[in-house]
Amino acid sequence: MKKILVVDDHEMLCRLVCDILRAEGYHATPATSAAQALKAFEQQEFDLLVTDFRMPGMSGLDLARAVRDRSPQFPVIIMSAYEPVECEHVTLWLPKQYLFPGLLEKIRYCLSATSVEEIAR
Amino acid sequence: MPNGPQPGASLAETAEGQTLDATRHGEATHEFEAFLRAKVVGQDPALEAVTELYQIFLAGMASPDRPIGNLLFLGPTGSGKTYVVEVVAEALFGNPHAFIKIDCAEFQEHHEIAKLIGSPPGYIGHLQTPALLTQEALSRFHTDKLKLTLVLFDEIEKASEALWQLLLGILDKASLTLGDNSHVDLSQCLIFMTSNVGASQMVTLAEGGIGFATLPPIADIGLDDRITRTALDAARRKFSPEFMNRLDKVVVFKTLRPEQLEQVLELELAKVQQRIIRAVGQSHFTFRCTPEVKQWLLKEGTDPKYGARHLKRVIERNIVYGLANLVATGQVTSGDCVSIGLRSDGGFAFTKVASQLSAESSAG
Repeated sequence: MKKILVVDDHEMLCRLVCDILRAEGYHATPATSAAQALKAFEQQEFDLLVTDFRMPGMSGLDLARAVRDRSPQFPVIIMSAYEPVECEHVTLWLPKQYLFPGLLEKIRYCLSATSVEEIAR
Repeated sequence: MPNGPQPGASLAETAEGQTLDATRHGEATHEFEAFLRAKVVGQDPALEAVTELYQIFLAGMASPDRPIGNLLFLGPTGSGKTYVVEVVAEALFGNPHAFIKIDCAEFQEHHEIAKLIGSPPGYIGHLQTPALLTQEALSRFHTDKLKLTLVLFDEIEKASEALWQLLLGILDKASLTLGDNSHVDLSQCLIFMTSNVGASQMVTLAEGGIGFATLPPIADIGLDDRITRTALDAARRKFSPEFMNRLDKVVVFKTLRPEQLEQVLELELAKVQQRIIRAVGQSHFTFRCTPEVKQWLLKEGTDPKYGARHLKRVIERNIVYGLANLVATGQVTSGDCVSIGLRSDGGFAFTKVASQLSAESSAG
């Protein structure tokens, strides 16, 4: 079972996304801040990070950078209500206005691709 | 008035002694049965069979050298055979996935049995292929109070001969020898087996006979008996007498009728609301569907051939995803109530009908 870490300071959304991912057969762990997410990364291994863009304190981009510093190929999906920002550490962007079912398609894609280069192609 | 004990009859003192009621269930069994009945629609014989075995287990009266019970569930796909096992697991352990599932379709080749019991000595992978049915695996869901394991062999008609031989041993002696020669004791297991044999004939009967009938089944008091007989005959043709003789009970699952499918829909929608409450706690929102939406969901999510199999997915795609998008964009916050109706163009209309609490919405 693939493990996904979902990060969003909007707790209701974070937990709902996790719940939907669980119904799809994933092992989803919620975190409501980047700090919580980094702690979770220290404690267990994940296959994918799905994070909100704007969060108080550390942003989703900073979190993506921190994760990629440790594991350069790690897939990261950013959910955002804002325009995408060019960033080499983000695998895919997803507008929050069209979160579902788009997120599920992007997760399947990220987890089936073997490398960041493959996703970029 | 027939002779013999009457269910629920009060105890009475007679000259010979106190009359006892052997049909009564204990409190724990009552609670267990009530839980099952609240979650499963239209399959009472299955619930009664499981409840009876659970009562025997609680009373410590189960045979020591056999599994607690061997149940065969027959019936069309989507009628709830696997779902019953999930509900039993939820009732006993609070977790619908707290059982061991062996998908017999994955064991169609003779050598694949190694996945279940590990490779025997002298074979590649000996002591390296972890066995699925170990004593540790069986006790994984045990609690301090409940040392019981649910094992499901799904779609047994697809099992290889090797798996059949293994299954016969388990059903008869509650014993299994693994590839490393260690023994596994399955005497604390409730064994469920499911099969679709005879399902097509059952569906034909339920739909009203040979032809292209698509009308909902008409209430027919003899129909259930005919469906049961058809399924049992098909099982006897397919499975050996040795196997059939080891079963405690064969339960035939009926094709759900339209009014039962409506109840299933209500249960599934209630589950979505429970999920929202469980996921977000006190700061949840509520939703309700108009009768038109319910009819639409039933039309899209159920059919005579597959029963309610697709209902969950249809609800997920059309209700849950929509609600999640509303939350993601800050259109729904805690305390809100969302009404879901059908637009004239056939799409879903989400309307906020009440807002009890003011809560911060954030679209990060």
